[in-house]
Amino acid sequence: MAGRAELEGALESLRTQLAALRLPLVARDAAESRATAARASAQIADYVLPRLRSLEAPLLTVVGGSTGSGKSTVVNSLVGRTVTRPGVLRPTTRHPVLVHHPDDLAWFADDRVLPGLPRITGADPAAGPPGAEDVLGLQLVADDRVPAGLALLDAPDIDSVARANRELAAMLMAAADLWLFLTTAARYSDAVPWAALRGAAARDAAVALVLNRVPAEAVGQVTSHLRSLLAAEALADAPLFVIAEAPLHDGLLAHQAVGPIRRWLDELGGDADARAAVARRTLDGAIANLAVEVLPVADAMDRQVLAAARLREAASKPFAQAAARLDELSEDGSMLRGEVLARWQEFVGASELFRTLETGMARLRDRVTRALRGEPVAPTAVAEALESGLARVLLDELAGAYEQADAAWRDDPAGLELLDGADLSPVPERARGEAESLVRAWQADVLELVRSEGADRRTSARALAYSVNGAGLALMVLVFGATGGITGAEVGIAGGTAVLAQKLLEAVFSEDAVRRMATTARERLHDRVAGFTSDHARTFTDRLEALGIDPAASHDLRVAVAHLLGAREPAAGGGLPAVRVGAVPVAPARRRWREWLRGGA
Amino acid sequence: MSKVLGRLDPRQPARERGARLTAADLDARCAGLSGAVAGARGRLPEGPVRAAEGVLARASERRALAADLSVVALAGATGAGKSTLFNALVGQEVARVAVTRPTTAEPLAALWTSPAHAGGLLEWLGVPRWHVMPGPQDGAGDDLDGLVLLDLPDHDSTQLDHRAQVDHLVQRVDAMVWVLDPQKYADAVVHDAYLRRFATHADVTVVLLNQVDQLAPADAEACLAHLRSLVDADGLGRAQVLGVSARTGQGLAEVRALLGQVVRSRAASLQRIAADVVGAAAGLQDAAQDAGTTIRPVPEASARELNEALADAAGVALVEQAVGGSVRLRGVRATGWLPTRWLHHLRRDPAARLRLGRAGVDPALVRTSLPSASPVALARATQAARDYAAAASAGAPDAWVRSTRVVAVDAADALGPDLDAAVARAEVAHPRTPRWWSLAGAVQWLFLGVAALGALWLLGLVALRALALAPPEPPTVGGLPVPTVLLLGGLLVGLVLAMLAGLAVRGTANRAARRARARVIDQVAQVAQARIVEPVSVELGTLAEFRVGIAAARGQ
Repeated sequence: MAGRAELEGALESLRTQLAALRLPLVARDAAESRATAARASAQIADYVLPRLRSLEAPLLTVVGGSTGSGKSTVVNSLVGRTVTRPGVLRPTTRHPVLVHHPDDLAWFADDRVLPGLPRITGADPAAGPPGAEDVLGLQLVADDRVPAGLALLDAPDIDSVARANRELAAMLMAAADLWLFLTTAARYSDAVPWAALRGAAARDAAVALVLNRVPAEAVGQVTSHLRSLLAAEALADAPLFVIAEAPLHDGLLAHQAVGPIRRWLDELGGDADARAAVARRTLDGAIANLAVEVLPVADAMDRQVLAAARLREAASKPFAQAAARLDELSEDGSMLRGEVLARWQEFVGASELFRTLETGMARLRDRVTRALRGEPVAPTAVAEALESGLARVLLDELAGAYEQADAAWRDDPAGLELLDGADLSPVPERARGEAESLVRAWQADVLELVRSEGADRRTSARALAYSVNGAGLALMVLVFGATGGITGAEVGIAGGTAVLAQKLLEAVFSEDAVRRMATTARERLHDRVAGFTSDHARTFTDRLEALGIDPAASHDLRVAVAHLLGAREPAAGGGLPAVRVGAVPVAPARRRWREWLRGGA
Repeated sequence: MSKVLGRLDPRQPARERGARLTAADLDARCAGLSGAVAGARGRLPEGPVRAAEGVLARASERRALAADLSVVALAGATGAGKSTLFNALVGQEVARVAVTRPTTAEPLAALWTSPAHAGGLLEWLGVPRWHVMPGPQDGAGDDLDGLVLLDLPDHDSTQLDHRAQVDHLVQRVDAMVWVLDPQKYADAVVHDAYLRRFATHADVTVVLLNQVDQLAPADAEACLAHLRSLVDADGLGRAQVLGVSARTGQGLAEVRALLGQVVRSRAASLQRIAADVVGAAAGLQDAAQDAGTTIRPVPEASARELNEALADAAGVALVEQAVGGSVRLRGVRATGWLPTRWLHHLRRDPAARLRLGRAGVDPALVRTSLPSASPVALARATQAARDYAAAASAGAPDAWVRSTRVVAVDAADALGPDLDAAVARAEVAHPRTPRWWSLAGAVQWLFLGVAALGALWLLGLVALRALALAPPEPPTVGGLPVPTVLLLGGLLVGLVLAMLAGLAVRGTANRAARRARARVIDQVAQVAQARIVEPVSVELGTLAEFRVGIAAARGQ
C-alpha cells in the first residue's frame, strides 16, 4: 500500500496548500480560483481522503437538484416514510438528511466523511432538532429499507436563493460517490443544473438522472428531448428515470413510481464488486479532475504575483523619482538661489558695491578668511536657510509622490481594492519633522566630515584655527553649487560662490581632499533622501506585503499536482447498473455498461 | 382564492399612492441626472457614470417614440408559463406553447394599436414578430387600447442568447411582469440578477406566481406569502404580487385590470424612466460617498498664504531689492556730492539689469530677466496651492478633494510665465522722481560753484604771487580768508548736504521698494485668482452641480 500512502501524502499536501491559499488582489479569475481552491480543498477532506482510506465503505448517494424538483419527496418515497421534510416553500432542504441502513451506522457516525458537518441523530427526523435552521449539520436516519452498502443524502437546492444552501449543496455534491440528480419537466434545460452536470461529466462521476414531475401527456416528448441534450453533453450512458406528475399519498409518491429507482439501487447495493468499482471510478475521476481544476489556480497565483509587482512598481516609482529630482537639484546649483545665496553673501560680507567693483579673488578670499575667523555674520543663518529650503523642497516632492502613487493605484482595479476606500494621497503629519531632522542630520554629517578630515592631516591645526562650522558651510555650498547651472543675474554670483567655497577649502585642505569630501557629502545626502522617500513608499507597499503573496507558492502547488498525478493509480473502471425496468423502455443494454466498467469509452 | 390574494396584498393601491408623474417632472429629473453626470464624469468611477449615461440615452430614445403606448413585458424562467399567460391575455393561441424547454426563442409582441404607430417602437425594442389585436370596433380589446404586450424568452435556460435578449429588453420596456411558478419562485437567478437590480422599479413591476392551481389552497397561500417576503427582501416592497393560473384562468381578471390601469394612466413609460433615473442617481450617490457637508468659503488666511507664496516664487524679494537699489542709485546720481558722483555712473541700474519695465514697451510683451524661481520658492508655491485646495474642499467627498487638489497643483506647476508677466505688469521700475531731487541737485551745483569761485580766487592770488606782484590781501571772515572759506566751505557743505540727501533718498528708496512689493503682490494675487482660485471654485462648482442634480433626479 505504499502507493496509497504516497497518494494520501500528495493529497494531504495539496489540501494544505489549497486551504492556505489566498488570492487577495483583484485579478483575472481570482474570485473563481478562490472558489475552486476552497471547493477542491473541501472535496479532498470531505470525500477523496475518506474514500481512499476505506474503499469498502458504503456508497454515498447524494440526491441533488434544483429547488422544487422533489428531492425530499423522492427520498421519502424511496424509504417509504417521511424522513426529510418536503414542502411547497422554497428552499425546502435547509438541513441535509442522510438515510442509511442500520448496519452502516458506524461508517457515517464518526467524521470519516464530511468532517465539517456535525452529526445529528434526532429521534424525530421530521421535526428536526431545535435551532437546526441556523446550524449546519448532517442528520443521520437509519432505515432498513435502504440497501446496506449504500446511503442516500438529501442535499439542498443547487440554485437556491439562499447562498448558504447553494454552497452546502455544492459541497455535498462534491462528496458524492454517486449522483442521483433530479430535474423536472419545467427545469430540465435550466442553465444552473446543467453547469453542475457538466462538472460531473468532466470528472467522470457516476450520475443517474431522475426526470420528475412530467405531465403524463408529455412523457415521451420531454424524455427524448432530455436524452438528446444528455447525449450532447457526454452523459448518454447515464441511467435516466422518469416519474410522471401524480398526486401524492401522505406526501409520498406511489410505490410503482419510484420502483425502478429502488430496484436499481438495490441491485447496486447488493453487488459489492460493482459498488467498489463505482467508488473507485468516481474517486479516480475526482482526483484527475482535482489536477485539472487546480492548475488554473496556480496560474491565478502567478497573476497575483504579477499584479503585486505591478502595484509595488506603481507605488515605489514616484518616490524614487522624488529622490532623483532632489539629487538633480542638489547638483545643478539651483538650491543655492534665493535665501541661501542671500545669507551666504551676508556671511562673506560681499556688498553690492564690492561685487560691482570686484577686484579679484585675492581680496575676496581675505574677506572670507576674516569672516571665517568668527567675525560678523554667524554661519548658522546660512545653515538655517539651507535647512528650511531643503526640507521644504523635500516635502513638496514627497507630497507629489504620495499623490502620484495614490492616483496610480486608484487607476488599477487591484490597487483600488487594496486602498479599500482609504485616501493615501495626503502626506502624513510626521513627514515635516522627519524632513527637517534629515537635513540637520546631514549637516551634522558634513561637519563631522570636515572635523575628521582635519584630524587626519597635518593641517588639523590650521583647519581648527578656522571655524569648523565655516568650513562645513563652505563644503555644503560646494555640494549644491558644484556644476553651476544658475542663470540670469545670479550666474556670476552663485558660480563665484561655489568657486569661492572651493578655493577657500583648498586653502585649508588639499584639492584632492576637497573633491573627496564633496563627493562623500553628496552621497550622504543622496542616501538619506533615498532612505526617507523609500520609507514613505512603505505606506503603500506595506499594504502589499501584508497580503503575504509568496512568489514561490504557485510552483509548490504545481509540484503538488504533479506528485498527485504521479501517485495516482488509474481505476480499471466502474459502471452503473443499467435501468432494466424503468418508466421508459430506453435502458442501455447491460453489455454497454459492462464495456464501460472495463474502461471503454 | 381572490380573497387570499386581497389579504396577501395590503399594498394594493400602490399605483395610486405615488403622485402622478408628469412629463415636465420627468424632464426635470432627467435634467438633474444629466447635471449630476456632468459633475461626476472623470471624478467618480466609470461604472455608475456609464450606467447613468445609458439611462439618459434610453430615456431620450424612448420618449421620442410613441409615448402614448405602454410596453409591458412578460418575463420569467423557462417553463413558468409566460407564453401560456400571453395567449390567455391575448385570447388566442399566438405564442407557441410546448412541453419541451425552452420554447420561446425570440420575443413576440401583441399590439393593441396599429403596427404603423408602434413600428418605430418595436424596432427600437428589437421585437421582430408581432400580432395585431382586433380593433375596438370588434369589442375585444377596448380596455387595453395602447398596450404593447411582449412575451420574452426565458432568462435561465442553457440557451445563453435568450438571456441576452431578456437583458436587452428589460432595460427598455415600460413595465415588467415577472411570471414565476411554484417550482422556481425562489431561484437565485431571478432574484439576484433581476428583481434586486430593479429595486427602484416597484411602481412598474408586478410579480405573478403562475400555476397556483397546482397547489392546495393552503399551500398556495403559504407560497405566496413566502414569495411576498422574498420580493420585499429584494427591495420591491411596493410591487404587487399576485397568484394566477394561466391554465384555469384564475387571477387573470386582476392581471387584465392591472394592465388596463397601466394603459389608461399613459404614464408607464414615464414611470419606468423615472425609476431608471432614481436608480442611476442612487448608483452615483453610492459611488460618491457624499456626507453632504456644506462647503464653506475658503478662509482668508489660506488665500493670503497662497498669494505670498506665489509672490515669493515670482521673485518679489529680488524685485523689491532691485527697485530699492535703483531708486537709491538714481537718487544719489541726482543729489550726490558732485566730486564723487561720477563713480555712481559706473554702476548699472539694478532694475534695468532685471529688465523691469522699459519705457514705451507693452508690459504684456515683456519677459523680465528675473532668474527662474528657486526650487525652494517653487516648492512653497506648490505647497500653498495644495493647502489652498485642501482648505477649499474641506468636507467634500474624497473624489472632489482629490480632483480639486489636482487642479490647484497642476495650475501652480504651470504658473511660471504668468508670474513673470505679473511682475512685468506691476510697473515697479519708474517711480516718480521727487521734486526735491532737482532742488538738491541745484544746491549741490551752487555749492560747487561757490567752491569753484573760492578756488579761482585762490588760483588768482597764487598767479599774482608767481608774477611777483603783491596781491591785495583777501578779506577775512572770522580770521580766515574768504576764498579759502569759499572753497572749503563749498566742498564741506556740499558733502554734508549730500549725506543728508542720501539719508532722505534711502527713505524714498525704502518706500518705493515697499510699494513695488505691494504692486507685485497685487498683480500676483490677480494671477492666483485667475489661475488657481477660480479653477478651484469651478471644480467645486461641479460638486454643487452634482448634488443639485442628484436631488433633482431623485425628485427631492
